[in-house]
Amino acid sequence: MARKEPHPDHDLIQGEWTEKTLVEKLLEPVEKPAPRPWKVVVAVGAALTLVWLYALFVTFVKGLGTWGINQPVAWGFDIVHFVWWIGIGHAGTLISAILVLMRQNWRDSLNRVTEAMTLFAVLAAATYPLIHMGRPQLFYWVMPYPTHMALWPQYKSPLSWDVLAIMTYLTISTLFLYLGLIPDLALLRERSTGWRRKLYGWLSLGWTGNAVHWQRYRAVYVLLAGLATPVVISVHSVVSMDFAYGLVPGWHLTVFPPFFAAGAIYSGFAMALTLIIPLRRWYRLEGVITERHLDWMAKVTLASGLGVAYIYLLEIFIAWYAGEPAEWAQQIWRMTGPYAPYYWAMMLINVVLLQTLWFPRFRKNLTWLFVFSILANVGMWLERFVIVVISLSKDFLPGNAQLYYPTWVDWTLFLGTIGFFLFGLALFIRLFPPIAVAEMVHLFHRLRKH
Amino acid sequence: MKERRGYEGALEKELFREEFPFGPVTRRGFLALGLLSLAACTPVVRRQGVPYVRQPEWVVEGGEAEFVTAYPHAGFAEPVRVKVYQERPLFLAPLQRAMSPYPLAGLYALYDPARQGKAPDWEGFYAAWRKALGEGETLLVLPRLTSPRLEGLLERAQARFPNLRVARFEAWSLENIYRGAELAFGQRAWPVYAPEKAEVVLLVDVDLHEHPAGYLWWEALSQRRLPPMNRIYAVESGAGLLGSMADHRLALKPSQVEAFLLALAQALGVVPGSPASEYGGFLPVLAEDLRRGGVVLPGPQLSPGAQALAMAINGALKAPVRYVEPPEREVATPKAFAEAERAPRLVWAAEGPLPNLSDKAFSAALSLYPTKAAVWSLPLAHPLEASGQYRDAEGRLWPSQALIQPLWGGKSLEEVVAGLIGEEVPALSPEEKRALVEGRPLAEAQALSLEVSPGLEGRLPPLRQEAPLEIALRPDASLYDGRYRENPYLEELPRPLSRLVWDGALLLGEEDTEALGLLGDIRARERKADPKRPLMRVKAGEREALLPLWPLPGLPKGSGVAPLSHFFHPEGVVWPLELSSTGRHYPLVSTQYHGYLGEVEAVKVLEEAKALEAEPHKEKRVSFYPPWPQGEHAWAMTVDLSRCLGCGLCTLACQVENNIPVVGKEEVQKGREMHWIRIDRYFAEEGVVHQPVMCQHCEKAPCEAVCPVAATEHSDEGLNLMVYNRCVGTKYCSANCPYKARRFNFFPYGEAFVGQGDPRKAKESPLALLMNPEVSIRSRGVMEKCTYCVQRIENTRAKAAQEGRKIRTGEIKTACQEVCPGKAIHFGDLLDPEDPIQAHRKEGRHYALLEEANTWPRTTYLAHLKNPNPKLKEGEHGA
Repeated sequence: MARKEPHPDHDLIQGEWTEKTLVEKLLEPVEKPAPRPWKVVVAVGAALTLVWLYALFVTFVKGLGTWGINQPVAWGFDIVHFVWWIGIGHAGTLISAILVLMRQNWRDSLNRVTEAMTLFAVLAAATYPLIHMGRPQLFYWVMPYPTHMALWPQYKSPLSWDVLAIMTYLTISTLFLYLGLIPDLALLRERSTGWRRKLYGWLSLGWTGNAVHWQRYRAVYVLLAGLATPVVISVHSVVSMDFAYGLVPGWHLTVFPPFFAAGAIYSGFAMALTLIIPLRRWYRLEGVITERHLDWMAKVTLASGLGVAYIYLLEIFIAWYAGEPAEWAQQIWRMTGPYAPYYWAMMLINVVLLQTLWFPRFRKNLTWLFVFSILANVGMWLERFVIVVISLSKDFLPGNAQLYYPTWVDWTLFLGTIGFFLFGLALFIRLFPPIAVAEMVHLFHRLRKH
Repeated sequence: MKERRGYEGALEKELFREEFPFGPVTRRGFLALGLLSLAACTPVVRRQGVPYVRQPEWVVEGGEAEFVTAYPHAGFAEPVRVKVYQERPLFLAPLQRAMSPYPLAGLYALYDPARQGKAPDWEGFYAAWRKALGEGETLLVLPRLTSPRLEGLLERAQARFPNLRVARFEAWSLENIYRGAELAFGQRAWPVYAPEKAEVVLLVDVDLHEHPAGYLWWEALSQRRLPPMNRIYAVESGAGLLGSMADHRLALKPSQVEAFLLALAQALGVVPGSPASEYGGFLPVLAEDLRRGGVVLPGPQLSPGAQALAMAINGALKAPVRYVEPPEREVATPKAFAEAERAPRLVWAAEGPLPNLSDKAFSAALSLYPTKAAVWSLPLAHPLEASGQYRDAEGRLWPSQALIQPLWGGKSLEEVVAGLIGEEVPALSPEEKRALVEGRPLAEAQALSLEVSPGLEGRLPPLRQEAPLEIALRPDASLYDGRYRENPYLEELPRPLSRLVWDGALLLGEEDTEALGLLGDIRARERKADPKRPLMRVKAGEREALLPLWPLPGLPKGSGVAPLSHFFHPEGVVWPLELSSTGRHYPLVSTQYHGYLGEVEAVKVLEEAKALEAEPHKEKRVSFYPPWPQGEHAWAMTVDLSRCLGCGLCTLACQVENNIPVVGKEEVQKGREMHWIRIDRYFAEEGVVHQPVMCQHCEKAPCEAVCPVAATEHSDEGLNLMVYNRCVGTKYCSANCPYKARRFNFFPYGEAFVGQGDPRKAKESPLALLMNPEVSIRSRGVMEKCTYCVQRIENTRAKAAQEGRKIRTGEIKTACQEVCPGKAIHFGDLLDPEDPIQAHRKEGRHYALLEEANTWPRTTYLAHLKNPNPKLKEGEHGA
């Protein structure tokens, strides 16, 4: 009897597991007492969230003047961070939607935590367009709603597209996250007592795990994945149009939609690595989040990062080739002006250091991967700063030029959203399993029965 | 009745004919009428006002009226038209030709609550003053007086109180001009120039605000800045706006300027001798050119000898200048300051710096703003609160009338002196009233027929001696000699060339700054937009001041300018000064850090000959969008850069007209100034160029397309409208405006301005009266920008409709257009074939700013013209 060939993805679950031990391991973050790092993250996150609320209070009471924005630089940290967070929010939907359609088995242990990351990143991002309004109390004017004045949003404006794109994205990614959670919630319902049992009971919508449930669940999941796939690409493309639609030198480029989509995937995967590497360590999840998983993620990061780096170089070429004096002046301003260190730091990270990921030696070095994943998000932050602030600080007329200095409120609003993001994520993995249990058990069976 | 239907029936119903008791009343109708009348019942309102029994002649209920008066600045009349809205003066425009910014900015002082001191006790003051006069010699220091009526009052006062001594103080004196005339003609005289008649003009170290006629000169000169052009030469030690318009400019130290004048007089044969230097070929070419019909316009600070030389040159050139009696009977000088400090009993009623008032047997200060320095501080009336007489810069006598009751119990100088001797100040005489109604002076200046007496060279006093570093004290363009220090409009009006706000600075050339070893530090800070500049100690004799240093291109080596508003010296305009670094820094805020033109063609400069050849430029117009529906008018504006010297009056007028707040130094430093018109200043190869930039009212406006809530819209008359109520403040419009002409209310600037820093006090502040009721105050978080003075357009439209006619050509004038001394701004209708704007748009030098952005602006520019002498090449003489 010929020995059965092992499943090509057999090493996605490493170690000796039975179904029971696997499930118990995966539910550890929810069921066992929280490890020390979790408490630290919650404490830091909660503290930063409180500071964030204070900065929001200051902004609302005193006005946007408490920020560093000024006349030419009408958009500063607010839009930088909006774009940054939206970008980070990309990995989740990409992993859950596109990789499902591509039948990538390695997504199964990553999708839950990245989807949760998406949810909180998009929530953090969505605060910025709201609070950056001069009169935030009137935010609903950007939405189509019936009024006696028969006024409608102005649909020529990319900001109105933004509203729709972000709301769509938030809805779909929340639905996706929730849908994937249902079997796990039912499992938790069965294993818990007290208020938790009630909570999971309500949330699991009467899931009993019978075949009809599973069949419908699979159908909906794939359908939703099909719907979400274009959204992954469209959200950041629409965000990029805020800039591409504008006249400002440095913004007015047709290459922006793919540029932003690539950048979003890059930063999303980088953020996922930043979160998953410590998570894996703290909860001893090496058996289910293997080095192969991380290697795959590093490869996606490299691929999308190369797209970004290519467009950096293309931007320089276009600025020269187009012969548009303002465009070229902007490029020179980026490279040699007072903000040049930011530009060159961005180039160093996103073009030069990125190349290390070509080499398995670096990809497999978790310390470097972790450091680089943080650097990549610093690089992407710099990129947004270059696009938003540096472009605005010097546009057509030399007389317009003015530098931008963020204030403590700007910084606090940024750190606050990081706190909110960490706080939200930490609470999430305490309440809901960070790895999709049902998916993993499913994968476990497939790998073993092959 | 029943068969009545349709319109007539409805009308009857509407008029309640059926419901009146005379007709049939139904139950329903009764109820409806009853409920309606209940709803119509309002509580009885007790009105506090009582209607006029006889309407005062200037009160127009709910409307605006216009009055003529003469507004004094430094003693000289500036005839103005004052727009009064329900007894509140709200706007000023020049009656004839041009005016300075000071009257317009003075509207702030009128309503400023800071003027309110203790309730003035005039009778007590008079009693104390009379007592002091009984005790011994009492000095009354007055500012420059040009009023014959006040001089008469003073004579009578001195006759009655022999102990009353009168001195006249002005930090920026005109004494040297009179003394120069004495040297040249043997009698004191005041020159009145007609620069528009000259082919060639030589400006000798003078700027707009330094000479009483400065703004009138530019009005005259600017008429000739279009082909066929005059040619302007400037020899100056400072860096002024008039000089920035010159076709050739020679930067010399103050002492060298006087030496140059002597050399010019020698070259022209006015005085014997031959010039010591040819100034790199500049002098002979200039001398030759001046003979074509030139005039020399000297600055008031030149020494009497230099003034005499200038007068002699003008005489020899048969220049368009006439001489009249000096407008001051006794000349006001800075020397009165020292006298006042020594006097044991003093009544200080002059403006500018305040002397030491302590240790005096009797001291009183009469001023617009109360001071704690004197025992007696009494309010002077604001010029719009009192009538009086003033001579203008051409020596003509104008009456001025009070347009509002004194708000804080102030008195005019005439009333003060009259009160001392128990006289009543006469009301406006019938002649004065007639002159005001007809908008003409009360009396022309008494002309003098003067000839330069021969042998001037023998009478010439020594000219100024050269020193290694010469720093001149000259009036600040905004604060003058410091008398407008309290005025936020002027404090925030960017100073010429440096574009500094809120502070005076020591201006020094780049070479000298380098020599002090400070240029590297300044350049590094500039790059980081760090406002800190080295603080210098400037010392002259006993007096010293700390002034931050601001390097300015174009200043000659070894020469600097310090503002009189921040450093006064009783010796007058003194140099040399000692200059040392304190090692400390002081933040200086400018509205424009980048003054050099880059790759983008931001402004156009042409030579006269090329402008004549230039073909009208056809704008390329491509758009995906269909054209806007066209209304009855197509509003547009042109700005003639050839006639614009960047004085900023348009900025100020726009600010006053449109309730634009002043935001303060810190906000300006962050780049949040609210001026709807900013003046971009460029140091171009051809010299300094100024370009006012405001909303360009683009036909394909980038701002309109990106607003998510349709808060900025296009009117069928081509206005780019801003709907404040609809704005949610995303600031996308501002980001996408290639001209960056939009301004955002980051804080509640409007309310804070009215409430003098506290937005909550806005409602009680008298400054609320300064706000134009035709223009809304913008709230926090709202975008704003130039509206083409839409309120003026709509008012004119309503007026025309009432009179059953169309809007006349040129009937609508925007605020900026009304006050522009160079008449550089024209607002008009593109659909009106009579409108001069048609011709402007067909000129070869017409251009749209940033045409490549494809915005199709309605505000367009006419290129700045230069008329260089082909015999002179720029750069050869260090211009």
